[in-house]
Amino acid sequence: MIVDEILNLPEIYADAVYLDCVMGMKINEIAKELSISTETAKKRVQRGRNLLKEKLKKEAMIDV
Amino acid sequence: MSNEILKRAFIEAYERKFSNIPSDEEIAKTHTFSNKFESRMRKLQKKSKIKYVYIFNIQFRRAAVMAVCVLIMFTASLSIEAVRTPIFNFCVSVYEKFSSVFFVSDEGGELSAPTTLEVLYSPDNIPDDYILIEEITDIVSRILIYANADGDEVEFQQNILSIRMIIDTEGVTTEEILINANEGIFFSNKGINNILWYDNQYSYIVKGSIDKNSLLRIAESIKAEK
Repeated sequence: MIVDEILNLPEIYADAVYLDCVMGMKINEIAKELSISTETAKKRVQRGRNLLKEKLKKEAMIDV
Repeated sequence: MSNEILKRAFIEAYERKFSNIPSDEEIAKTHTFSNKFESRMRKLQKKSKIKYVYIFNIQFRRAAVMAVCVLIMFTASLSIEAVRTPIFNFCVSVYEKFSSVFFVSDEGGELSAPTTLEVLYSPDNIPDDYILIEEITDIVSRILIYANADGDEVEFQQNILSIRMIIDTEGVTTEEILINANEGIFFSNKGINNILWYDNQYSYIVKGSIDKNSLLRIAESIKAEK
């Protein structure tokens, strides 16, 4: 289930994707909120989404 | 998977995550914080009220910026020759106190350093559970990022010497070290260990949440790529 996979994501990635997806923050706002650089914020959002996508692919929840 | 589905899933996940946390009232009934903890919290709250300004992405206290402005205005009344050297030295002093700038200038320098990354270096000794997840290389700088399954990261940077490296050393102690006989510094800030060093060609940074000795081994293992 998507919710279970989100709960299993490393917190640093889950928080970044939450701020992006749910709060609708821009990357520089996410960076400021998490006290990280904008480059790191961008990477965490991308990696979080990619990790989630890979996990869900393995469970055949989304189309490959 | 649409953004809307992902958003709803995240909301549900975080609601589930935080539903296990007791309310403030419940915590107050069963737990009393120590005086030391209360004192630390008051200090943190006080510190959060300090006003900062950002100049070139460096964080300075507003009072310090005002002090620098007053000094610049005062010394501007002197001759140009008299102003040039004091401001350069003074700015370095301020940086060291609030944000250390590792500045290497080519002006008047005796070394002829490359102005592009002619040779690429990378660490040869990375902990076994870390894999390379990202590489950003351009003509003047290189960043390699390694991560393990828990999301812990180690970052390696290589830069040409004319690039200024901005580092935040506010409140931390720096330690002078040698990396393969080259001068460098080690410091730890907000749970991240950092090593910066340079040779007569490039400057380097290795940083991460791993212990100092592991970081030293990584720094000492850098080799030129063929």
